[in-house]
Amino acid sequence: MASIFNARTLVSPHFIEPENIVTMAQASGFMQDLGGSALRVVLDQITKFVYQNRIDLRTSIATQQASANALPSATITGDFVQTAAYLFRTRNEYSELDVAEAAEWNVPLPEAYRLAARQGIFLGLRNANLYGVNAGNNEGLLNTPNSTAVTLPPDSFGNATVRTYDNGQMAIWLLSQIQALLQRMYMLGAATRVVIVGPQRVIGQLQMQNIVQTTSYQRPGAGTATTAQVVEKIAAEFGIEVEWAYDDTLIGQGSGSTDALLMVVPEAVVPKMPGVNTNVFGTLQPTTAHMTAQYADMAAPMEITTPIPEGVDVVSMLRATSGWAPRGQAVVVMSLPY
Amino acid sequence: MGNVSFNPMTTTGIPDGFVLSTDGYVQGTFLDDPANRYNLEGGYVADAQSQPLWGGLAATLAVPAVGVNAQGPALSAAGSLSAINAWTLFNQASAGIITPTSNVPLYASGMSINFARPGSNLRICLAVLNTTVLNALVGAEPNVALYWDPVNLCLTNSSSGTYGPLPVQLEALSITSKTVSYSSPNATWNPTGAAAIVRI
Repeated sequence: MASIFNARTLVSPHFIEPENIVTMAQASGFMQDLGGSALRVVLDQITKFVYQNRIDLRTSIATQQASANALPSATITGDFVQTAAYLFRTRNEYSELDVAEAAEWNVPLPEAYRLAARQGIFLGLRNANLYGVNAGNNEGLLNTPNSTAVTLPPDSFGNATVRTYDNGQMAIWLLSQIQALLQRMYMLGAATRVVIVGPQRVIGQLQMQNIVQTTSYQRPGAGTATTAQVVEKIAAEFGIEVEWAYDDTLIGQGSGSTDALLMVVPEAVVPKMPGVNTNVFGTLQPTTAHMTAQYADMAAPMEITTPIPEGVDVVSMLRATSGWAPRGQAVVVMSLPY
Repeated sequence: MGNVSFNPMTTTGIPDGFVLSTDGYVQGTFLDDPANRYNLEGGYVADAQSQPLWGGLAATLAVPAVGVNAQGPALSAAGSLSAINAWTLFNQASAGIITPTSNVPLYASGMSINFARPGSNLRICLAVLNTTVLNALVGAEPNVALYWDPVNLCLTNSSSGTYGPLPVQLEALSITSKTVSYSSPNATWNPTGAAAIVRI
């Protein structure tokens, strides 16, 4: 595409502020929903699919006071899951004249194109992470197979939207979702990170405005803390670290065009237990703690710069998968009418 | 002629990555037993078998043609009580094919599959129709009448439309076993299946 840095009319005497006003796009917090909060940079340039093996087992024993010889057995089975990898690519071409015209506007054009190409690819990664390159094929964390979908139920006063909901009840509802999520993973009691990705207008309201109302009885945060503070503080007391991340593309992405809040446990470790551990098989190595992942071939796009007549051609590219949670129990898609 | 299909694009996940307990059995396997493990035999899936086979099915054997004994007998799904010459098994039958959308090993026509014959004394795990049938079998004598359901491909206690009583002894029951759910063309594991250990 082009760069449009044209001739200007100016009135002298004048002063041109040397620092430009550069467009600020939302810096999406989507990477926080990934295991390790980062792309998993392991693919090569031509990877088409990512597979992950899964090892399951069934156990059975005999228990008698004396010994017999016909004993039952444990059975270990392997199967695997898959997701597709895609190549994200973009091209820019410019000449020395384009560079000179941009310089007139204090814009270093090669760097501007580099960052623009990256931003385009990163927006693509965000869309792939949340919604999938191909949503119909279960791609994207919002379309995770075996994930849980919940819709905010009306509070005890009949309010059903984020703006009108009882703030204390909202905190308890969110904590109940965290509890249900960890319960499904048998992870209550383990130090865990829970990430909630959502639109600013929802999370912001939970954080800044929704101070829990005082009632005739004592409840956590009444008059002193907001919904988000109550959620964070109570969860923290039980070793659960709640992280908030913002992405306004989630507006209208919940069921029935409500706002979507994605709640994810990005990493899960085998809980340590005193003495024997009924999850000891879970320590079999190699095992992954990552519940969610987005695979890529590089941490930042590769650039291929080629001379063309009168200029250069720069192709930026990155290969990556959609956001993927092989174990969907770690993902909750909450639909909140705004 | 049965074959195995493959969907490369669908992103898949694990429905049972977190479980309360791993107690249970896996359909189509036998409990390890040094005295009887040499009763595990190999054969191949018959060309006429229209649907792939998997472990834990009642099968008919066909003695191979003269001069082609090496592959063992041809297996197809049993069509009557008297036609049950074998029970298919996953043990060592690692040639079965799994895909991300069909994670139970499937054996299509021509593929090698293992089996054990009635009388081999192996204790094998077979699926049971449902927990109602399973609960009705608790406390039964080992020689309780068990039938093979040729539609749902599992054990049941009803003689209606089924083959039996089977010459098997019931030994144990479980409702947290891995059993096979087949929805053509995919076979997937049911992580909370009803299953029985029977001595064949």
